Amino acid sequence: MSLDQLVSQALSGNQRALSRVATIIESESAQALAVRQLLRGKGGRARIIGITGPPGAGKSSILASIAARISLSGKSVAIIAVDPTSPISGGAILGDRIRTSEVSLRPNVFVRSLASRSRIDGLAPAALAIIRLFDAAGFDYVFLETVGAGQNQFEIANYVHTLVLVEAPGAGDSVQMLKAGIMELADIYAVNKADMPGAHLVSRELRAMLTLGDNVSGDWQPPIVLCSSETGEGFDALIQAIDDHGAHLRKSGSIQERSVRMARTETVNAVQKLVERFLDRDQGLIAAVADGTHTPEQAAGKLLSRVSQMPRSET
Amino acid sequence: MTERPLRILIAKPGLDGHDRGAKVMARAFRDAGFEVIYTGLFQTPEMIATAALQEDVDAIGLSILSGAHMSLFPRIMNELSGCGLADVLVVAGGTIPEQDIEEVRAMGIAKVFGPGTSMSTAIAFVREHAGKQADHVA
Repeated sequence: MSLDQLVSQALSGNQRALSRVATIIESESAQALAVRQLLRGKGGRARIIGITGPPGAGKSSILASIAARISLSGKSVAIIAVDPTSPISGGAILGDRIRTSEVSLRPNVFVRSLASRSRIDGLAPAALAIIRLFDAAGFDYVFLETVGAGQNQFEIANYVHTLVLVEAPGAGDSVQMLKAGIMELADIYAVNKADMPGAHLVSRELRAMLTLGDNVSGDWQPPIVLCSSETGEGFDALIQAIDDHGAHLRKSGSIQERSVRMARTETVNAVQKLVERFLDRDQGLIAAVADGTHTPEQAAGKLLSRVSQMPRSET
Repeated sequence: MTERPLRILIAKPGLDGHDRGAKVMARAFRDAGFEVIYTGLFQTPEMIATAALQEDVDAIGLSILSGAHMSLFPRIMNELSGCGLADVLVVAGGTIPEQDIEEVRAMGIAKVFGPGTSMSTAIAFVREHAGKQADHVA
């Protein structure tokens, strides 16, 4: 089968083909670039939502619950779940299906696990490209779940239209909520394990933090949703909040800004990959920096002039 | 073709709460550089096939200690071929009696690793046989 045929099967709902194409994209091979060409300009219709938060807060469980509800309403859902790669072996345990294996049986739900590989920001190198794949394949909602992530792992905000931050009881005091980073960037706060003591306190601390100063996201008031996989409470409200934010983005025109931000991120990632590929080939340049012949900036200038002279076929 | 990590699904089919073996194997494959999809306990044949399909795995390791392998394995293999995954390497481990092994092999399970198998034997076998030809799309 040709790559064209495989991609068109993937886009017409064949799960086997979709899964194969995701693997090709993740391989970052020459074929991956060809797939990106074939997908170019397709999609642009999906709601793209990021879910982040500390390990064990319940990101996968929340996704399983809301994917079930969304799919019952007749909409399709793709979930991309990232788990960490071992810095020692390069292997990974991808365990997000433990929560999502039941919902993944629905014909309109597709779950794909990715290892973080070279990245330390809670994401995976191919995450945005695979979001584009699922968007092109016509999924109504595409969720990207990060590795269990911390305060300054906020690159996810550049990957999605809507960012949901999941917290759980014991998330820390009000100063934790005040800290810069991911706390500033969420469009929606989900306080999970609402059946457990302390959840309402986290929710109150969040609310207090949000009212301390000007609203950074313009006229959108980030809602705080209490939810619990134990009791099922809050998931309808969370889906409502996600949809409300989607409507807000369209109405205010900020969807455009976010799309541009995503495109910029993709482009920067591509530049970085390209430059690193050239740099790896040019050990002499690195040696020249090591022995003091060049400053790093001089080496960078030389490298970029070499990149600009490369044959077009190498992009 | 860029070298990519092999992906293996470690699955616990049926009503069998003994997951230490599966976790030991998941850990061993992780330490050998595999990306291991671990789905937890109580997986139905359908869940196992769906995970293999959506995750595009190179191999599947079934861990079973309940004694129900002769009824579960055929259903799993059947679901897998229904998903177009008949070419994916499937291996099994756990408490599978000697006299069942021939029949289990005949179902399409490439290898049965009984108690006492070393990690390196299992990993070497999977590494050798999980080469995926389908990577090379024309």
